[in-house]
Amino acid sequence: MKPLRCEVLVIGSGAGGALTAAMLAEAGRDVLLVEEGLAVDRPIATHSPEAMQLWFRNSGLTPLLGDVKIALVEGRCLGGGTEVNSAFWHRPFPQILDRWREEFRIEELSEAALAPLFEELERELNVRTLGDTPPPRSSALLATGLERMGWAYREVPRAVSHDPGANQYFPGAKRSMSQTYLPRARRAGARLHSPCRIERLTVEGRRVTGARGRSFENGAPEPVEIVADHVFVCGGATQTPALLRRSGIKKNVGDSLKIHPMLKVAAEFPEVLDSHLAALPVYQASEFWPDITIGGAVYSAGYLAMILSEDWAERQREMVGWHRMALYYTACCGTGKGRVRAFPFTGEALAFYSLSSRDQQLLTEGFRATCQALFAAGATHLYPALRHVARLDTPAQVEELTAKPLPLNTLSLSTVHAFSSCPLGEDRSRCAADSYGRVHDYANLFLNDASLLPDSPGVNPQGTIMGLALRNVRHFLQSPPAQAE
Amino acid sequence: MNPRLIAALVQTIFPDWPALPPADRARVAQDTTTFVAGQIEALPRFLHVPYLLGLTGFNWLAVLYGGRTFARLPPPRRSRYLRFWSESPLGLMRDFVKMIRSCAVLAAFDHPTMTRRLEEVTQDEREGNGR
Repeated sequence: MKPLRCEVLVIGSGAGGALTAAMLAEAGRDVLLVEEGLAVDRPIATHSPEAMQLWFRNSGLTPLLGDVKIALVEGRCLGGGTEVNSAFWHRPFPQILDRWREEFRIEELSEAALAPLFEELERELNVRTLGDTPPPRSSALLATGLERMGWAYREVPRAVSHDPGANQYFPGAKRSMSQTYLPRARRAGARLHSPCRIERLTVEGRRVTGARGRSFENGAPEPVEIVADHVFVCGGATQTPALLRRSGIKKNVGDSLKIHPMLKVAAEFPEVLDSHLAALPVYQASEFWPDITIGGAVYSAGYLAMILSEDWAERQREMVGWHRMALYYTACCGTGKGRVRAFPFTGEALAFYSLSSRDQQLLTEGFRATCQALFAAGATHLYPALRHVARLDTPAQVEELTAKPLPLNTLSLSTVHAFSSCPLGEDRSRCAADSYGRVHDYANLFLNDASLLPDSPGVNPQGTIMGLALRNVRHFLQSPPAQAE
Repeated sequence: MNPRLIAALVQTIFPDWPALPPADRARVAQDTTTFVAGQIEALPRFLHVPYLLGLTGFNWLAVLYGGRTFARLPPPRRSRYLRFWSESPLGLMRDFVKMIRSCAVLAAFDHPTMTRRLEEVTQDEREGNGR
């Protein structure tokens, strides 16, 4: 087997990896980008069952094990999570950046330092609000309910295509990585190897010399060996720590996974909504940021059925009102304990997360607020993703249900936001990488993805991930080669 | 994996509403069964083998419940047995059923034939709403 050679190997093509590859290639570096997933190249909705099997890790069935099992939904495709998410864009809160800088001892991290980077990213990704386009009816109803409760809310800008009429659920409609930084990387000369799964890094002392894996480019798996001067691992919050641990790099790696746990509720209104035909929901309650977020969720009859299936024998008859319903969620800034390990023998990422009592409290408060806003908006019935709670018909029932924290064994939770499994910072007692993503004690190994976030940002993390990634790769390009410590 | 068992599970979970013509129902149920089987295959390997063992246990423990394996039980007894697992005090049994049930209802209701049928049966109300 003849090894592939490159100056910089980038593993993973999501928000961090695609950006990293583009910046390096445009700076004249010889870049090889590897991605284990498939290209998002079929005209099917990215939340459909077919898409789940094509473009999601484990077909969308990745469990976070713990006192409550939480369904983690991760993209596994060319472009990573940016191809299958809602493309919501938030800059990180200044107070969170300040806290991260102090607690994790991160150099040069502030709102002012990141501002020009965000402006650059937002231009490239066409981050914008709806403008004159009316919001989907389900979003307008949520806004009405929040207004009536006296709570602040915002339209969250999104990274969308230049065609305002494009159906945002279909490939090409968003300014995802496959529409932006991946083409830039290739135009600048980066080579792409996909699908190719990296199984371990090759390490000599305190230097990484490359990686080994299996390529599926020709269908059947073939071993691949890559020799590189520098390696950027950008596999995301579960895959990055699993790869590092498989490679024997374990210090503060995979010990601090964080998520935004999410609880959904279906709301039935007196009017026809036809939410399955509507565009993506756009409003989020900002009243409770960063602890709690409330917003609208992707809707289809199948997604509604999954919520109702908590008590399917009793609740399947409620599907009759499917065209008058919409889905909403509350998510909290998770403070529970999570970790990622490489499963013995198979090496797969095995992720754990235990809800903290604060998570439980915030989810209860967020759920109560969501239900109150929906009733204020005119909802007639609510169907929460809670076991043993068939239907809520009045605000008084919500008050009674949430008088105490929702019991763990009733919660049916999911999450689409995972991060912080290899936090960055100079505090070596808790950080896996330095202030710019270089793995402590390794001269030429870098991380540049969601795993670097010190803890929960409290809002959709794509903006924070990309802001840090751009900062880190620019620092790499401006720095002389580092020596192993 | 036992395809007959998966098909029996899907038939038990399959919604009564909206009513589909028999041929459509058979096609949606078949596609749902294929989807559910694909989802089980896609489980991480460390869960895949335990899940297959769980499926075997689920099928054969039905003998104690109704004298036959689940796949051979008459439909009403299948429903009661599935409910027994769904409402078990053991989280493991509930989680086992939840995974298949979630996948089955997702695939059934997001099937294009089902979506068309849903739109047909609610057409009057939707048109009355100015659509």
